[in-house]
Amino acid sequence: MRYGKSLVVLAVVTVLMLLLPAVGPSNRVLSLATLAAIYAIVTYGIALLFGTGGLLSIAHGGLWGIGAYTAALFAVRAGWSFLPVLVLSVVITAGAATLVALMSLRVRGHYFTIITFAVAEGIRALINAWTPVTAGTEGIVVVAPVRVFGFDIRSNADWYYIVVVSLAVVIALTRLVVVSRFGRRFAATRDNLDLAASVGIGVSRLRLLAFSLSGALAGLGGAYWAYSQTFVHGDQFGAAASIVFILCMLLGGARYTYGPLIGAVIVVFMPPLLALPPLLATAALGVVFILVILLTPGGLASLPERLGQLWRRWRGPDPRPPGAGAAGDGAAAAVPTGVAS
Amino acid sequence: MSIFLQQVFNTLSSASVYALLAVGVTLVFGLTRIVNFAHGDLLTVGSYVLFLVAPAGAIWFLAGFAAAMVAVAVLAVVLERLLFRRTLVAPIRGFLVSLGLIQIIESGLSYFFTAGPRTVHPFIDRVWTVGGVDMPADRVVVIVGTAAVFLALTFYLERTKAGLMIRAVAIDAETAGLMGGPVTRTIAGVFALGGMLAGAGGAFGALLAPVTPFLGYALILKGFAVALIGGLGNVRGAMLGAVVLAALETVVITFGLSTWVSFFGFTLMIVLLIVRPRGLLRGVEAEI
Amino acid sequence: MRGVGKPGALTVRGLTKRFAGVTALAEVDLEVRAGEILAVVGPNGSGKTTLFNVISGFYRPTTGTVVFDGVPLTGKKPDRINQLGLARTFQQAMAFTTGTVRENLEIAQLAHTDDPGWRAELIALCGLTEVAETMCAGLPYGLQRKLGVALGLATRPRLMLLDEPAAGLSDTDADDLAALITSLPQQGVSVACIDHNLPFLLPIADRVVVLDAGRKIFDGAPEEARGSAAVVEAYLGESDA
Repeated sequence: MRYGKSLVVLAVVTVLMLLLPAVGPSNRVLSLATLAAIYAIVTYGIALLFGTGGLLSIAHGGLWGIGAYTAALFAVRAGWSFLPVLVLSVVITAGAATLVALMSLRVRGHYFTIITFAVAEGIRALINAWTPVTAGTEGIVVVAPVRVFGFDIRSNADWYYIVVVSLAVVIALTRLVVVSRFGRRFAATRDNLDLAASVGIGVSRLRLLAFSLSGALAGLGGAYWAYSQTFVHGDQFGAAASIVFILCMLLGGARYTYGPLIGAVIVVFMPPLLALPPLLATAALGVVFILVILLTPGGLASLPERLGQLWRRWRGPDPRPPGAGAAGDGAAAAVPTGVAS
Repeated sequence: MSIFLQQVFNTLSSASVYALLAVGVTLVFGLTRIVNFAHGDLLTVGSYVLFLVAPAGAIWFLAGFAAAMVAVAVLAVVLERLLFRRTLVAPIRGFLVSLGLIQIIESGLSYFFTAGPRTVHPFIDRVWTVGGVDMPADRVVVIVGTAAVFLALTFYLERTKAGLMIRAVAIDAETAGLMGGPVTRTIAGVFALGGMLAGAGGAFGALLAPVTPFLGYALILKGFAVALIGGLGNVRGAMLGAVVLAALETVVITFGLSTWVSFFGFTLMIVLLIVRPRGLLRGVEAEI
Repeated sequence: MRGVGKPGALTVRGLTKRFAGVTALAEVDLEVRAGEILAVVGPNGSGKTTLFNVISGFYRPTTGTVVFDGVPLTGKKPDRINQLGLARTFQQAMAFTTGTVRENLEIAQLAHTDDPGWRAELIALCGLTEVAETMCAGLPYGLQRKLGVALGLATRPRLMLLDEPAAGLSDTDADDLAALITSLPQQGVSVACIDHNLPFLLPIADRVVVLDAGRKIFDGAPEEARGSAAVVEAYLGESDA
């Protein structure tokens, strides 16, 4: 069974990721790796909507702020312990995402995306304006003792382990959703919304559910962000954050199992590796972003597949009818992970 | 009464900048279906061209104003040729490209000019008081100048061949192409036109309030809200929408809710997008 | 061919649909009786497609009711209406472009009982055997139209609304399609069909409804339609069919 095979691959990838602290990286590398894993968690949510359902949401840069603030407020002000805070952040963000979906899914295409943009910026504006609760632009320092199943979580490595394990669960979960009957129906809505509805697919409920689920992932990422960064303020959230997530998604490839992860690693590690001043690093990300959109619409994870196609074309005309092999093994096996959509 | 008139005057001056921005947004969208969020940054670039060319003085302001219009128009055409032309088949990619452009332009501007606010006041020494309404010369220049720009624009769109072509392509690019109209040139032209308006908006905007490299990002959402109020693709609607948004902001600020201005702005935008059906009808619904 | 169940009956009463002041449908009463093939004809803009869009839930009617086998459809969403046993095709050829013909039929059954046997039968019935494993994106126009009909039938409807199924088809293809449509009532599917190609549509129809400017101006046997003065004036006269 293909999902079983991809679980084995995922287990290997996860073990490899978990070995990172053992090779003795600097604290900086470890915290960057944690950050990449957090970005990846949120990006998998966005990629589920875009890659499978064709919905480009910019709301997630605001939604993950709801997760982060829920975590910050309940951990610091209410003194809740870690796991309940995590669950609450996920639930509240998923609820907020459901509201956003109820509003935004009433319109299509561009208008959907513009609404989600306004939602992202609206959440940022709300955080900055609602001073009594959020402390406005001053932000909240998140320092709270964290215990998970009897272990104290203190070091960077501890956070790294927690986030990476969560990420592995997220990857397994989103993969399961994509290959499930639910995911296939959701994909049908991307292909042709009216046609999907006409053959009995409950498009509204389906898209609502998918949006809530991806919002839950934003909430999870936001909570981890609050704990691991120990400081939240409004301007960390909003459309600018969405642009970073969308960059991760498009860079790696929204429709590939490891696309968002590859993208997040590149986005997080590229600026320090380039050693540019922060402003120029941002500009460089913008340049990379545009190049990716114009040159590799499928993302970097699609490159092996595309190179394979070029190779076959170069060797001679494809004997099969056009596209007949696209869903077969040839294309999927060309992706290094072997579990491409 | 004079307080009310004062508010009207202030509303008109900020509406001018919104209108210059939104008309460009609406024109580009009408012809290409591209939601260009970097359009707000074109306006900021216009402001910085003004700062470079005309740091002070009323006569120099005219030179700076002209330079801003020309420079931003050229920039817009270059962006169209290099980037947006490649996204015409899939406008959502054009939108994504514009998000990347925001990053490049804003961090580029703050790298070269620092992130601090800048301002010019070429007409600062003059304030006219008419019927209890204080009218700083800066703002009068903005209002009168915008009115002049829009008179010229209306003439261009309604009386010249090129303007009529723009309106034809906006209605139906395919048919206009079949009839031998130079569609690609018209699209480049509309980017230039939008750039000129943004350049003018940037120069005028610098007279009203301090400018930072990140202003475009805040402005573009207002630009879209305004374009949406008027109906995307509708030039006169955008002018009207600008007045509506500016008036709303004036009201919210008058009630002492200035920290909530942007929140209400976004809420208004979301509500508009949902309830205003024009242009939002589902694909099949357009045909009977 | 297997029997599917009883064909469905549709009753439309006083249906009106207005768009921003334009009346697309005005007080239309209409029936599709169980097991019949109803032709819906009329000039362009007479409201035929709007009628189908309202019945299948894509538009909400301004006033009026639609009842299918005793169940009111008014206000229900398209997917719910399909679940109740009503399928439709679209005027524009539509398919799930990322899949093959066979995969398309699978997708069409995602919200229904998965039935590989019925899919295989449909592929043969609709003349899609040779292209079953071809990607839909590259399909010739005529085959896309047949696929559209097959997608609707894959959901095992009791009533099928066909919107210009023969548009753009060659004469041979149109004959095949006519044979397919004629066979539907025996399989438990009532049919309402819009088409401009009257030589295709009238011979297979049991009854004809003519719309003009949103109003029903004729309802009766196909032979009578040709003789009706109002119909000739509104429509048949100009096409001289």
